[in-house]
Amino acid sequence: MDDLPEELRKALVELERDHEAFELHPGGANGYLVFARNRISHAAVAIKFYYGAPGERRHDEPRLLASIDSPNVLRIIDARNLSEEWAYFLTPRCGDGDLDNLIASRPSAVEAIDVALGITTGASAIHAKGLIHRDLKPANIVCQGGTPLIADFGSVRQLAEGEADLPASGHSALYRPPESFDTGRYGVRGDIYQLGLVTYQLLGGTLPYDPMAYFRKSDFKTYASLTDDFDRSKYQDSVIHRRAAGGNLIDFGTLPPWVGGSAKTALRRMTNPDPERRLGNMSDVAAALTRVRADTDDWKWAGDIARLERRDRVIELRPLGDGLFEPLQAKGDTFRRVPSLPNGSLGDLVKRVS
Amino acid sequence: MNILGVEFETKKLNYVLLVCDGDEFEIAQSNRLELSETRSRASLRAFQTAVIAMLNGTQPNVIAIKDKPESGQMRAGAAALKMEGILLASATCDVEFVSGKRIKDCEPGAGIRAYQQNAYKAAVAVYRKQAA
Repeated sequence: MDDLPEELRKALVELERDHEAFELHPGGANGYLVFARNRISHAAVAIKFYYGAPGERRHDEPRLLASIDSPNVLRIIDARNLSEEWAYFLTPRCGDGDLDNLIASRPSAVEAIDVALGITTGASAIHAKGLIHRDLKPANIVCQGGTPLIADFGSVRQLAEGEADLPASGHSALYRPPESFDTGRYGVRGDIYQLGLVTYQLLGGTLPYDPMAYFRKSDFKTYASLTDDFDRSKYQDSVIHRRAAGGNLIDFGTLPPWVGGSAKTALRRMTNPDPERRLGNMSDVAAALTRVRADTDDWKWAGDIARLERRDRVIELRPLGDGLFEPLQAKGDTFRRVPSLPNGSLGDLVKRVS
Repeated sequence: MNILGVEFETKKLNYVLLVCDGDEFEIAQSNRLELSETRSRASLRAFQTAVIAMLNGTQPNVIAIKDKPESGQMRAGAAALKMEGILLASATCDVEFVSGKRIKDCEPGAGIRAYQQNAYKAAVAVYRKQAA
């Protein structure tokens, strides 16, 4: 905390009257993020200190957050001005962390779809106000009790009357929709593209955060020839753009075998590189996800065991090595072999059990 | 004015959004939401979440629901009644039930799927009533 600017240290002294257990979060972008606990209510809060030159848009983030009333958008508790340059706002601290934490915990297939539906609802509330988020990614979505909350409004912008798009955000090349690289513009369908990528990750698809994971052999050679950090960063972005524009940023082969045809179709329609062929609004996304939910069994990973809990039946597919799995079914406190089902590959057994 | 026509069919909620301006209207959106299970809390909550997204995305001024009796031979099924309850509880606008007779009196809509015709007709019936 000692390294914080003087105005912020003074603000923290003020905040100490009603708050305790301050903890600086290392990941605060565009300012500083401090966690604390209210001395009276004992509620855990997040304090976001933000910096901005005086002007109309300086307080956009807390104002826009406060303007959205949705169970899937983080709510504002308070906002204060500190100086000409610094201000802060308070929100509840979400104990489950961000969506990257949830993705790392490998949620079950149905849990993944339900979280994607929650984000869809939050995004639909943002769009209903004529706003575009432009930076929907796991790090900007927090979770509380299994409910996703869209949290970071730093890139949210208002669409002008009669306009369908606005200038693209320069954040997160990995999540940038392909059209925004070409046109520098971004609309509702850009948010749908980003939601598609997040849904793919929730369902277990791999999306490496290291840009070099997307390099071809020749890219490494070109990259090595660049000496300037800015040029290297631009080159990494161009490789991601090439992959996104070609529709092969995501690899359906990395999805677990229980992610079926309807889910893949929905993901393709959300992440289509051509915005005209992408789903056009969040109602259509919600509709597609309800169909996927109805069509998906609730498999999940428990370590390296694939587990299905369906009403009163629990089935586990346990690895035997060499890509073979053994199908077992819960009987009381123990597991017994599923009769008439031989050992097989994961994909084959999932298909037969489902 | 936005009129959202709705029909519940087994475990599906079919909807058609009409955007009406004076004597004219056009179909702005149409799709279907699906309830995966009727006796699972998580499933009903997921459906409610989807309904809220659909309402945010369609911004209806009125919701027109094809009426189904709650008793008798033609009564609505359990799934339909649960979906209807979720929609009514989530709606922040007026809701009007449209009888089968009023639905039959409407012409089918062009360019929409057969399973969405009753939702379309429910919306048209309410539009006509409001325009009269």
